[in-house]
Amino acid sequence: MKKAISVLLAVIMLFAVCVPAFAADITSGADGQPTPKDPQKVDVFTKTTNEAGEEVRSYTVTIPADVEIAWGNTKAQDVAYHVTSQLQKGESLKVKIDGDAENKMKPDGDEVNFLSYTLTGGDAATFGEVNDNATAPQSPTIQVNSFDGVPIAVYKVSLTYTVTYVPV
Amino acid sequence: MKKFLSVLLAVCMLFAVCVPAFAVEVKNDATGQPTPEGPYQVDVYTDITDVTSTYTVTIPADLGISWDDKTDHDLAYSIESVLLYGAKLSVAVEADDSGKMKLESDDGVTYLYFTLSDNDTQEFTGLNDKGTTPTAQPKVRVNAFDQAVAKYTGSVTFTVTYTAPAA
Repeated sequence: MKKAISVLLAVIMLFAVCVPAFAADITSGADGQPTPKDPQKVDVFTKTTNEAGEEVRSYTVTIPADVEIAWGNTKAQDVAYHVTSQLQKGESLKVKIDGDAENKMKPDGDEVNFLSYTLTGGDAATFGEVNDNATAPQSPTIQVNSFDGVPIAVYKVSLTYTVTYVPV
Repeated sequence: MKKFLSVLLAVCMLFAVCVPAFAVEVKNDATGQPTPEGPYQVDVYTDITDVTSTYTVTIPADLGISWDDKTDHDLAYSIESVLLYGAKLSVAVEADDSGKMKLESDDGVTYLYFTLSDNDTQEFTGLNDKGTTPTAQPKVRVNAFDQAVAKYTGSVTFTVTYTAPAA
């Protein structure tokens, strides 16, 4: 009985323990005002690849499929090409036209008869990065010099268009 | 005797329990005696003496646009704030140099342009949870890619203005 009462009184004493607690105010800022922020710049820039991550530089050189010259027509015929391109800054294209070594148009299988011609404006022309159906400034043409003294036939020559891509 | 003493000591210990209590005495100013009549009002208020507004505006680091992409791109920003009552936060977004995007290698001789839309100044008040966004996000669009393929760079400026509560 004595032990029970003593334990009970000890428990009551524990419940009566009082511990005062004090909290601290947390303050911020010396003057009580938030620090004003300076204007911030955000860069907006273009990539050099498309949405799929592919390089986007491109060019197209369109050349004539063929050129027909009516018999007896000694006028200059247009053999121009067209360039459409969008290359990277500093890149360029060069395009030139070459005829055959002898400047002769010949019938198939005939090495005797020929028509001589003059190719003009075929020198290499340089094109910059951006072109929209641009043509060579020198306007390439081919001209049959004369139709005299040869049998009437289909005389041919192949012109070679050479496109060279020039990187930075 | 021992039992009597132990009980007596226990009673004394109980009397020694201390319960702090704070109270305001209601006094009569003239007589200094407590006035039994009431009711009496006791004000309860929040003390904001040293409380300041806080805010964070999170803006993009930069915005890269794929070549030939002429669609709108969000220049999204968000805000987190705890502002004093009556305080206001304004966020203004403007395109620099009329949206000109320059090619650094040729000192801006060659350039593209971007258009900035939905960039009305937005205002925020009070409490805004982290990640709060404006009603409309600013949008950037490059109108044409008619120059040599390269990295063209322009910029947009975010200006945050805090307006304190009226005194």
